[in-house]
Amino acid sequence: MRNRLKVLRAERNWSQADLAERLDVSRQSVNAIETGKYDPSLPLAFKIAAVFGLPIEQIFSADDAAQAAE
Amino acid sequence: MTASTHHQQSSVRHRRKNAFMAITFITLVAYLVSLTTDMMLPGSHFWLTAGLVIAAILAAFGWAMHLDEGALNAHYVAWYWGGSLGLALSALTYVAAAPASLAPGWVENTLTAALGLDIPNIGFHAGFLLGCLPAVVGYLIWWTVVCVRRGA
Repeated sequence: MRNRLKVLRAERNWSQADLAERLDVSRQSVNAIETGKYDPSLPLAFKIAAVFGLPIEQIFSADDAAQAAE
Repeated sequence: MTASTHHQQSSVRHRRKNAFMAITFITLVAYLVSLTTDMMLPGSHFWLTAGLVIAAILAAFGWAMHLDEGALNAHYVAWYWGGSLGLALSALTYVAAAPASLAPGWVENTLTAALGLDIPNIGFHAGFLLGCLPAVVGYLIWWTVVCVRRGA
């Protein structure tokens, strides 16, 4: 699973800690998601989408879908 | 969610974690003390330990329920892989040490000589530790690796 968390976060000038606070998770979890070490649950993915005000598919994509788009 | 609410939840998490670790430590110490002293009433070390173990389980449950999903997943992964590999190590050690070629009392005599303590039923305790310790150590090692990889 790929995601645009780092880019979206940078656009808003948020630190990992800022995003973690908005999502009510630890900074470590945000880092793990950003670096692809951990895929979030569906509820957390929806929460991330709500925080950024974007549909989930504009934040997360399957590895093969991301490769096809490139 | 406001910053202060998040901070309060985080401090609740830390309090529960500290309570869990303190109770677990006290349980271990009480258990070891009860094995090596005759200060306690017969059988009382069992009830003391059982009560503390139940308290530790309840504290751990309360703590785990307040972990965020990333941290909880790290513990699941660590228990699955680290614990399983530890159990496999226990099984291998048992298979390697169990053959009937071992003289009766060899384990007890060797441990008593090595520790310099005359602990009753030391073979039983060694068996218990052989079953638990590698799994716990495997879990701790795997959990540390997961945390480092995830940038903790």
